[in-house]
Amino acid sequence: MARILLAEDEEILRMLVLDTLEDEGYEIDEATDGQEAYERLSMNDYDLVILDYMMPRMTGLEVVEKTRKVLNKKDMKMMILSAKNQQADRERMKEAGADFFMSKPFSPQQLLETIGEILSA
Amino acid sequence: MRNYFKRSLGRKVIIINLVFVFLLLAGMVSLRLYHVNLTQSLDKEISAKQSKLNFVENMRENLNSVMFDSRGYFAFGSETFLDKIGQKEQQIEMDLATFEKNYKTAQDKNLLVEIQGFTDNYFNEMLPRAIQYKRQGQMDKLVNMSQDEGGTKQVNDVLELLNLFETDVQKEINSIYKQKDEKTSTSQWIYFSFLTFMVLVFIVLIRLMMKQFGGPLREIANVSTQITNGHYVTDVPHTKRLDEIGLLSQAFEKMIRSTQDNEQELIAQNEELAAQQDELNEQQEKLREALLTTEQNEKMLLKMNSFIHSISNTLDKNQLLKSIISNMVEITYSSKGIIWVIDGNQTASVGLSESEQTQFKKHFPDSGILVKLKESNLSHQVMRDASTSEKGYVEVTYKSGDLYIPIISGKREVLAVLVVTRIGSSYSGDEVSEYQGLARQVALSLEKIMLYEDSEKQRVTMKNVMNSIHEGIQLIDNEGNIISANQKFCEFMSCNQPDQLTNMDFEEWTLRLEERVQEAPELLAFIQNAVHEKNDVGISHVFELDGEVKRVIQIYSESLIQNDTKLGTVIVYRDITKEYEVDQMKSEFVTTVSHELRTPLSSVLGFTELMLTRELKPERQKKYLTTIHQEAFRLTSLINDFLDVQKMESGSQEFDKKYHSILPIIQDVIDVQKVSGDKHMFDIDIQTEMLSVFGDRDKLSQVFMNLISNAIKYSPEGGTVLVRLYNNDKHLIIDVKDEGLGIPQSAIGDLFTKFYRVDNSDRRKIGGTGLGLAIVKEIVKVHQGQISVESTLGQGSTFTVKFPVIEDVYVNASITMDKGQKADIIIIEDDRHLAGLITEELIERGFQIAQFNKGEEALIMIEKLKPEAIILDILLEGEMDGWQVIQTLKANENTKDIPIFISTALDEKQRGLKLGAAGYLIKPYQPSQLTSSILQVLLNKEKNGHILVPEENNRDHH
Repeated sequence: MARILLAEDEEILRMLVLDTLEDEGYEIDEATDGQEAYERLSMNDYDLVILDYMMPRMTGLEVVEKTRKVLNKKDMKMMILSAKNQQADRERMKEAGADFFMSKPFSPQQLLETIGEILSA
Repeated sequence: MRNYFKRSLGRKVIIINLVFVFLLLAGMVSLRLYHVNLTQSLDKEISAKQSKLNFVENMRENLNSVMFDSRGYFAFGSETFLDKIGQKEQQIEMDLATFEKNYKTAQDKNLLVEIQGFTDNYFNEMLPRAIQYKRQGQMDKLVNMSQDEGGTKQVNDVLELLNLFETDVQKEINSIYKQKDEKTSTSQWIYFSFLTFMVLVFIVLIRLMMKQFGGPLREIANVSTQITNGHYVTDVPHTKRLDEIGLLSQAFEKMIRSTQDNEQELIAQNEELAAQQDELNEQQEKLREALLTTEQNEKMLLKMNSFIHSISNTLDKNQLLKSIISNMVEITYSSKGIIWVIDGNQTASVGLSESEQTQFKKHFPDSGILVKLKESNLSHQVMRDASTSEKGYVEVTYKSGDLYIPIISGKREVLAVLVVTRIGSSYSGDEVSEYQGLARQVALSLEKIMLYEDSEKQRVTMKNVMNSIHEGIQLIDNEGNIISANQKFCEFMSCNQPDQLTNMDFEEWTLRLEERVQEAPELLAFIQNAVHEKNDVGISHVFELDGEVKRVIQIYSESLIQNDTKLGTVIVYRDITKEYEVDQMKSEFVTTVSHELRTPLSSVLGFTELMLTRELKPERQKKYLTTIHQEAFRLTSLINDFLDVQKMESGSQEFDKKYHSILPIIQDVIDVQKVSGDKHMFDIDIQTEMLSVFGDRDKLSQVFMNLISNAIKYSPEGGTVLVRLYNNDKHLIIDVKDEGLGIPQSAIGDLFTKFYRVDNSDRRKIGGTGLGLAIVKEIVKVHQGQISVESTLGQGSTFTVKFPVIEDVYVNASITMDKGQKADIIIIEDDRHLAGLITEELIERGFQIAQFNKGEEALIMIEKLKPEAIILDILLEGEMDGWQVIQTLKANENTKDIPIFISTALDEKQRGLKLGAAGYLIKPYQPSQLTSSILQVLLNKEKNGHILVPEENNRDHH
């Protein structure tokens, strides 16, 4: 089963995503902020990384950027969950190297479908 | 011929002179000739006599020589002697012949005869005989002959005769010389006499000429003099004469004739002229008078001029007044004087003492003189006895004149009054009118300076207004040079004084501005457009100005147009930094809020979807439901915060203020927060008993909710949250202290600004709207409180809230009075708890309250404070009861109209109303019941124009 890293500072949202994905059998690693997520990324490879945008210590965007540049993990699939869904924000995320983007609030079903598509591609 | 001489004086003179010279020369020549002739004839005679003498001499010599030679012969016998004798004999004979021929006088003839006789005898007889004797040697005969016959004797006789003749001739010569001398002297005398005669003739001639020329001329001159002296002359002498004098006389006569002919005409003309002259004299007299008047006027003008000059050189009113009065006293030859300006009761004086001035200032404004001056607008003189101080050492009584001159404005109003005093004399009518003329000048000066003061005041006001405006304002001319600028603009330009900018040229100030602006070309283009364009209304431009603080400036311009001509441009620089920042914050806020809203929304939507789409165990369902509930609650409070901000911004937030103890409010907040903050310890430290606050319970709760939740949020590692309550003289102070992240110093200033969030990565996971502290501050402010913060980064923060100390509501009357100064309603009630309740109710309505528990005290204060209403209990502490109080109040003229509400447990309503009570409430009753009945009465009273019922809660809306 695919291995996913979930980085989200809001405990409740983390629980929501976790419950949604675990029920489907994905193997989830959790991080409570960007720094923690980056540390995990430097140690492990994941099939998919789901990052909240607004996190303490390091934003999702910074994590993506650093992963691509510093850890040189160019092929790792990375998705950003964000309340910021302005066109300009998406552009910036794409530039930083994020492959996928999902805006808050999101539907758990939709999240599952998107993840399914990403992983089967 | 005669006429020829008569026609010319010159000819006459020449002729007379010629005749005279001729006579003189002729006389002198003939005299000379006579003299020469005389001398010559005498000299001839003398020479004749002289030749006679020569003859005698020769004869004598010859005779002697003969004698000598003859004796030589006789002695020596030499024939040579005889030859010599022969020569001599011939010579003698020649001489004798010459003599005979030349001299014929008797004496001469006689001599000649004698000599001839001798010679004949001697040579013809004696000598030959002697020779013979010699030759014969007959010496004796010879001697005989010479002695006896007398030979020698004859010779001597002849010699004697010659001598005699010589003497005679000599005598004759001498007589001739004598004669000559006599004749010469005679001729000299004649000569001298002639000369004398000629001189006399000359004098006579001169006299004659004088008579001929001088006399007539003198006569003509006399006539001329006579004419000159005005005599009438009919005859002029010597007109018949042919010479120059005649001509002169004739001409003179002609002249006289013509002069005399003209005289009549001249006299006539003269008379006319005389008449004209009289007229002229008259005119001249008039002119002189006019000149005199002009001179006087000129003097007056000069005086006025120097007066005006001296009073027109100042813009200081005091100085002007001093100058006016001192000049006026001088010009009017007064001893002292004062000028008094109505506006401001201001004076300046000369020669007056301080007390005299004060007296004048005090009494003159009410004096009859002033009234009179105002009515007539004319000067007024008062004659009076000189005062003691004016008289000095003089004892006799004399008069002094006080002249009151009104200074009248252009609007015919009395501006000021000038009083001058002449000690010992008065002012004449002319003087008074002259001084009134000066008074007009004074009025002009005064009006001018008043105008100046007014405009100066306006100018200063304008300047102050300009400088107090928060916009930078700059007035520039059409070339772009600064005409004036205000303080704020000066600040933007980093200068100290707006005056420094005045007259600064376009290049200079725009350069100074450009140096500090990022997008200078756009700004410059805007300014240039503003300066040169005629119509630019509504255009504005925004730029950032660097400096100590970066400012955002909005600039707009308005043309200054007067009579269709553009005078310049007003450029306004609005500092919109605040608005700009607020704008920035607002858009940031929108982002933040959307983020903050999306997070709980995600939870609500997500978990709901899960519950709807999946089969879940009951525990999980409950967990999800709890979460959904929590998140929905979070959404609500977010929205509430947002609404609060909106309300506070629009000023429509309402506060329901009541007296509360702060302690239970804080306790409740901590109880709520304890649930979410399981990492944290909570501690309350109470150090005061004065815990009362007057405020809105919910809002106060919100203050501490925010502060305590912040304390929890910003100490993510946990720790103790300490709430400490204490007080000082004026404030109840509450500290909320955490041991969290702390706040950077740079952020503290903005901490209470709306939408502000400390931008720090540590805080990103800490949610919030950025509104919490802004709301807190606003609420504290409405409660007359203050909030502040101290923080050390990494060690935690302490927020301190101060509220004004609220005295225990059940306070005694005197304390309430001290604070109040004034009371709208007085409560007389011995039940302090009830009094407190009523007070609280009424204060909320905006009334000011004073409480008393004794009737006697209340009565005193009621008279003083004149309250709008009185609430009266019947059973009171002290001597008086309520019935007595109401009776006393109704009996007093000053207090009988104050409405009285009786609040009592006694059921005696009729008695109360009968005594004049406006309302009667029987305890227990709702305080609001009392309030509304009071309001009812007061409103009715207001309709009758007495009082103003305070607006509800107006004391809360400062």
